[in-house]
Amino acid sequence: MAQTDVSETTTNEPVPQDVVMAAQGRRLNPRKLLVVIVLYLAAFWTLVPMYWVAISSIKSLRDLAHIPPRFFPTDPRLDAWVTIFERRILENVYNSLVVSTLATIICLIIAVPAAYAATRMRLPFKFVAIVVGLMGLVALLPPIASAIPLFLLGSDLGIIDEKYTLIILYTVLNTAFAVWVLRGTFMDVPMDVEEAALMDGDTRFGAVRRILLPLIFPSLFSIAILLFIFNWNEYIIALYFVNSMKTMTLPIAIQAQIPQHELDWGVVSAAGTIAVFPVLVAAFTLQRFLVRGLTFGVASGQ
Amino acid sequence: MAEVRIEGLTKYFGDTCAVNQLNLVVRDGDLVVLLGPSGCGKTTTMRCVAGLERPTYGDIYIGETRVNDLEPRERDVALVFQSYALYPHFTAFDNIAYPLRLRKTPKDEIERRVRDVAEMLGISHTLERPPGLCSGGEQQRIALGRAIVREPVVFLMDEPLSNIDALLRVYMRAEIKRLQHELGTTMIYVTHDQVEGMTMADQIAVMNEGTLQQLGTPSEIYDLPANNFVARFVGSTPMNFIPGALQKENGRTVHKSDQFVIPVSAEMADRAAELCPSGQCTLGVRPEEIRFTTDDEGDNQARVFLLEPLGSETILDIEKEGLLLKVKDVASTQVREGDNLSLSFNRFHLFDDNTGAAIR
Repeated sequence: MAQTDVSETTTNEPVPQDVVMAAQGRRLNPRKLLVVIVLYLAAFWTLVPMYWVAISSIKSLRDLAHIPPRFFPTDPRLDAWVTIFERRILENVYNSLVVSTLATIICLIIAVPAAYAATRMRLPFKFVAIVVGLMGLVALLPPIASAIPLFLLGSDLGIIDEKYTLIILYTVLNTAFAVWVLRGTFMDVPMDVEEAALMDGDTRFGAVRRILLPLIFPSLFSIAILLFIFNWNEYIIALYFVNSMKTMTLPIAIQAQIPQHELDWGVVSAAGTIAVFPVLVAAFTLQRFLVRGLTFGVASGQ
Repeated sequence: MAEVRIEGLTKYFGDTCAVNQLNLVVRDGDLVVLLGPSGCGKTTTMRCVAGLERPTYGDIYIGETRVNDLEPRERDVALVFQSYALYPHFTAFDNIAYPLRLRKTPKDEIERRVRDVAEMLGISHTLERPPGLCSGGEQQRIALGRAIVREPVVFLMDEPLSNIDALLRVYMRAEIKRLQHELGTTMIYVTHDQVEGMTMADQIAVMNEGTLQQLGTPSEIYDLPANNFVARFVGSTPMNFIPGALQKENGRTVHKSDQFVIPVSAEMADRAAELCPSGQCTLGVRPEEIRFTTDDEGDNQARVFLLEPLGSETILDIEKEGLLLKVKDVASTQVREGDNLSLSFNRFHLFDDNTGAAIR
C-alpha cells in the first residue's frame, strides 16, 4: 500500500494498480447504489442554495416575487449585476482579497514554528498541554465574545477602520486553529526523517525547510485554503471594525446592499454570487490536495 | 577514522534512567555491537554519540574532541536508522547526494561519488526512483549509501536489519561487515539480535537496564559470560540453568540440586568459597556442553520428552523432576522420545544467586 501511495504523491508515473482495479471493479451493487443516492442528495442539498442565489441575481422582479418560486428565470436580465458593479463591489473584492491573503500568510508564518516547537522540541509535556489547550479554547470561542472587547481596545488605540487592523485580528483569531491542525500534521511525519537530515549535516532550520515542509506541503496548502475561506467569510469582527468603503470587505458589502426600504434581492444575490466564487475555486483545489494530504502519512511512515 | 570514548554516560528521561554510568571505548576501526533487550539503553547510548540526545552526565569523545556540546552535523558521524528514514520526496540519487550537497561538494564530484557508492552497493538501477518504489532491501542499501558516501569518521547503525526478511538479513549482515572492513571506519552497531551481534562484532557490549554488563569479543561473551544475564541473552539455544548449592561430599565439592549432583573442579571450588561463601549458586551449562549416553546406569538420569530436529543437529528436550534442559545432539545419535539418558556436564559456569555474577 505504502509504495503505491508514494508513486501517487511523488511521481507522475503510471496509475497505481489498486486505482486501476478499483475503476474496473466499479459495478453498481445495491449498497453502492445507496451510497451514490445519498451522495447525490447531499450534493443537491448543498448546491441548491448556491444555485438559488446565482439565478436570483439574473431574475426579473416578477420572477423573484413569484409564488410558487420559479427554478428557472423566465425573463433573465443583468440589471442587478450592473447595479452591483456601479456600487464599486470590485473594491470590496480587492479589500477582501488583500485582508484574507495577508492574514492567511502571516498566520502560517506564526503557526508553523509554533506547531513545530509544540511537536518537536521536547518541551515539558504539561507546558505544551496547557498552551495547546488554551489555544484550542481560543479557537472554540465564539467570535462575538471577543468582538466587543476587541472593538473597545481598537477604538482606544485609534485603529478602527484600517485594513491592517483586520489583518492583525484575523491572524490572531486563526493562529490557534492553525497551530492545532499543523501539530497533527507534524506528528504524522516521523522524527527519523528529520533526524536523518540533521545527521546528514543539515541545520535544524535547513531540515525543516528542505525535508519537513516539502513533505507536509499538501497539508500546509489545505490549511492555507481553509484559513483563507475563514477570513474571506468573516463577518462579525468586520462588522465592528469596518466604517467606510476603504476597508469594507465583501460580507459587509453584501449586507450593505440591504437598505431600510425596498430590498433588492437581485443585487444582494449578485453580490453573494461574487462572494461564493473564490470559495468554490478554493474548494475544488482543496479537494485534490485534501486527498493527498490525508494519504500522505501512509507514504512517509514505513 | 576515529576512536569513540564514552565516559560515565548517564541519561535520564524525566525520572527514568535510560543509561547509567556507561564507560566504553570503541577502538579506531572496530565494529562494536551494542547488544541488549529493548529498553536496555543501547539506542539511547548511540543517539548520544550521534548528538540527537544530550547526555545528562558524562562525556563523549570522538577522536580527541569532546563532542558533548557539538551539533550532530559538527560531529561527522553517519547514522543508519531502523526505519531507514529516507526522504520520500527525493529520488534515490538525491537521497544519497543530500549529505554531499549540504557540504557544497562540486556537482561532478557528487555525480561520481554517488554512482560509485551505488555501484558498490548494487543499487545503480534504482537511482532515478523515489525510495517508495524500491524494495525493502534496496531502501536499506540506499540508506547505507547515504551514510557511506560522505566518508564519515564513525558509522552508527540502529538495528538496520530488523525491517527486512530473514534471508536478506543473513546476506546483508555479511555485506555490512565486509563494507566496514573495506572502509576501515569505526562502527557502532545497535541490535537486540544476539546472532547479529555474534556474527558481526569485533567487540560486543552487552547492556541491560541501562548498564553495561560485559564488553568482550564474541567468543569471550559466549564462553566466559560475566553474569547470568549475559549467559541467558547470548546463544541461539539458550543456556540451561540449574539452581542449587555447593556442598562437600566425600571430600570433593559438588553442585547439588534437586535433580542432579555435578562435581566441581577443585580450582572452581576454591574460587567459589572465596566469592560466594553462602554456596548458593546456579549452574549454567550450554546445550552443546552436556554429554549423554543411553545407559540406564549412572548418576544423572533424565528422560527425553521431545526431539527438535534442525537438520544439522537435533535439540533434545530433557525433563527431570520439573527441570527442563535443552541438549544439543550434533552426532545425530538415535535417541527417541521417552528414552532415559545419563548426563554428564562438560563445561559449565556458576553464578552467585545473590549478585548474578559469574564465579571464576
